[in-house]
This record gives sequence, C-alpha cells and structure tokens, in this order.
Amino acid sequence: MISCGKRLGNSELLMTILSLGCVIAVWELSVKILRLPSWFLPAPSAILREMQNSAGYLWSHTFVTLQEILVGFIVALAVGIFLGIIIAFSPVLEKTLYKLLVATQSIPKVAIAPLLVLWLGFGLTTKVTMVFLMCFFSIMVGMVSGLQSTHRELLELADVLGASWMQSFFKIRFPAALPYLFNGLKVSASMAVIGAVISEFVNADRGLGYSLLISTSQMNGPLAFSIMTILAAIGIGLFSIVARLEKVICPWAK
Amino acid sequence: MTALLSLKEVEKDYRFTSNESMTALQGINLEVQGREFIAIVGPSGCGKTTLLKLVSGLIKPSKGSITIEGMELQKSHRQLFGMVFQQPALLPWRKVLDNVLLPCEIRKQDLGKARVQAMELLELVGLKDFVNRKPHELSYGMQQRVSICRALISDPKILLMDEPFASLDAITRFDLAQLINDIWNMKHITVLFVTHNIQEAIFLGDRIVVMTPRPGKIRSIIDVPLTRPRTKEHLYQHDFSLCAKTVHQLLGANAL
Repeated sequence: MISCGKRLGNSELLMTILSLGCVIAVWELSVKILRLPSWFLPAPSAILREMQNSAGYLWSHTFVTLQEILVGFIVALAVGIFLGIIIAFSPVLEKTLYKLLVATQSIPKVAIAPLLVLWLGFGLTTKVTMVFLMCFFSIMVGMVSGLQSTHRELLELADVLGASWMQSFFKIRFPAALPYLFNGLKVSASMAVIGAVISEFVNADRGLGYSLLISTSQMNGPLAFSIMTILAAIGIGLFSIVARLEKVICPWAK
Repeated sequence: MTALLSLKEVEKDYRFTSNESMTALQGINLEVQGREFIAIVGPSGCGKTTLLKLVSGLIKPSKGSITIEGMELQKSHRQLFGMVFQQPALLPWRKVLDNVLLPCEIRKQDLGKARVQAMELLELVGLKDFVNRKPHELSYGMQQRVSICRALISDPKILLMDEPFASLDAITRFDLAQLINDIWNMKHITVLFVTHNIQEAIFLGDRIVVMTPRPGKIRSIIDVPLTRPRTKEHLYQHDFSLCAKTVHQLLGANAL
C-alpha cells in the first residue's frame, strides 16, 4: 500500500515536471517566432541568463525579503497560536476579541500599508508587521477551529478518566488540533510573500518588491521576470516546508 | 446484599436556551449486581446514551439517585469505569500501545506495570503484532479492539459500552461480540451494553433492559434464558428465538 502510494507520487511529480516543461517550451518558441521584445515578454532562456548575470544583486535583495517573510511568519505563528488558544477556551473572548478580529480582517491589507509606514517608519519593522498581518489571521482561525473540534468522545473519555485541564489540553486537544493549525499555516505561507512585496512596493530601498518596481520602471523584462521567479520559488518553498512538516508531525491528517 | 449499581427514580431533563425543556429519561429504576451483563435496547432517541452518561457521572440526574455499592455516585467512583464508544476515538498520533496506556498516564499510575498489562490485553484481542502501529494503519474493527483494551486497562469494575459495534459490518460485529463474551467470561466484570441489535443483546446479556422513546422509560427487563458460557450454538436454539420475539414485541412499533 505504501509503495503504491509512492509510485503514484512519483508519476504525479513526473506529470508536473512534464507539463511545466511544455509550458516553458511553448513560451520560448513563441517569443522566438513572434520576435517579442524582451521588455514585453522575455524568453525563459533570457530570464535564466539574467539570473546568472545578476546573481549577486538578486541574492542581496532576496536575503532582505526572505528575512522579512521569515520573521513576520514566525511572529504570526506565535501570536496566532496564543490568541487561538485563549479565544478557543474563553466564550467571552470569542464573542468580543474574535468577532473584532474577524471584522478588521475585511479591511484590505494594501490599504493599511501606507499607514504602517506612517506609524512604524521605513525600516524592517514595517515590513515584518505587514507579513504578520497577512499571516496571523488564518493561523489563529486554524488554531481556534482545531481546538473547538475535538471529538466529543475524546473529551468524554478525558472527563471520565478525571483528566486535569492541562492533561486534556496537552495529551488530547492540542495535538488533535494540529492538522487544523497546519491548514492555517499553509494558507499563510503564500500570504507571507504577498505581504512582504506589498510593503516593499509602498516604501522600501531594498528587497525583491523594491527591485521589481525598479526593473519594470527601467523596462528590464528579464530582471523583472527573474525577480518574480524568485518570489514564486520562495512561496513554493515555504509552502513545501510547512507541508513536509505536517507530514512528519501529523501523518494521520488527510 | 447491596447492588453494585443502583438507579432509583432517575430522571434527566435537558433545558434549552429557549427555556423549553425535554425529558430524556424518566422513572428509571435499575439494580445491577456485580458481574452481571446488562444489555440495553431501545429505539433511537430513547435516552440510552444519556443513561450511560448518568452512570459514569459525566452528567447529573435531574431527579432520583444513583448509588454504587450503596454510596452516592462521586467523582472518586470514576476509576471504576471503563468506556467504549461507538467510534474507536483513538488518538491518531499515538501508537496502539500508547493509546491503551492513556488512562494510566492520566491517572498517573505505574507505567511499567501498565505496559505489561496492556500487552496482555492486546494479545487477548489478537493485536499482539500491531502494538507499534498507528491507528490509521488498522482497520475499523481493529481500532475498536484497541479501544476495548483502553477501557479494560487498570481493571475497571464496570464497563460501559455505547453501541460499540454499530459502525461495524455484520461479520466483524459478531467477532467482536464473541470477543466481549470471552472477556466477560475471563474477567467477570460488570457490563452495561447499549445496542440497537436484538440478537447481540440476547447473545451477550444476562438481562435485557427494553426502553421506550421520549421520554425514555424502562418498558421491561427480561432475563435471558440461555446458559453460560455462550457459544455460536445458542444462536440457533429455540429459547433464543423466543427471547428475540419477546423483545421485538416489547419494542412494538418501535422495533428495528
């Protein structure tokens, strides 16, 4: 059964690679045949060449953005879990704080970005805060719904066994909530990249979002596409790490 | 002799937020002796599950009293109970063995001794080779066997089973009924067994409590006229059929 699943996984991977290869080939050919200018749509080969030529430049900006993303994500994880726990166990907080957070969540984050600059200045804190705002909500929601959907039987069992609050939390409720938490984490993994780019668009002197703005204003197509490729890779990478962690930590989750 | 478990005029009302109330159980009188196997049958919504929750102390009766060996039911009585639910309700992140040990961990008992006992129980239910597996690697019937072991660890006096076989196919169902039968023969514990299945109730029970729906009342308590130990042969005896007929008639229009 396990080996069958693996084989299926491999053929799936092969399909992904093949279809991606086809897209890239069609892209390359159409750029060549239609003689599209590189500012309009650069060929994949041109993007690859640009990535090699500007490796140093790209890496320095990638480092900045990656730092914003990771710090923001980790802060969101800590705050999301903490808020999730206290909200899940407090009907009062669920009716007040949770409702309030849900309401404020409907404000578009892009609209807050300029305000954040006003409040927090031009530094790293502003970007990290933006990433945090993008991420923490789905993490918190995952934690709350996970903790609130423990099987009734398990809670009754804990009750009959005379488990203390701490025992039933650490032995039953929290581990049972982990798959829900991971769902939240997977959503926020892609949001984190968006958050970093938005805040760099609004105000920055470094980072991938910033250099994307510069490259498009200079009509440097290959560079802009290189940056987008890196942004996509960061998003995919973060998502894969979370997904892999989920497989290791809660292999029972579907 | 005082009964092991005694319910006197027990009633349970549920109040809803709309200020309406519903009587789930009414006028329940039941005396259960030690080492007795009580099967409880009745249509859906007759308060069978509520009855088990009352006995285990998960909820309190609105009226009447529940006593254990003459003493009012208290929190300290909880270690007398083992519980098996309709769902196996195992912890998916724990190995089979660690699932069985959960009650001992929570009660802070000696885990070394408990581990030996857990291994014996798992061998008894035929899962010796699966102790290190995770629940999702087991079939549903096997998972339910694990949950039976979890209920039996640390030797409960009273085993409460709430439709434990309701989600199983007929063949697995009978296997597990035989297993429960064997365990009862071996351990001589008291069992309160809620079921929808009349055959199962007769095959396992010493007495059958037949209930009526809303509000749940005891219609009748029947002595099962079969000898022990029970075997497959009992299923084809005339007494078995007669008993089944009686239960069916008592359930009347509510028969399944």
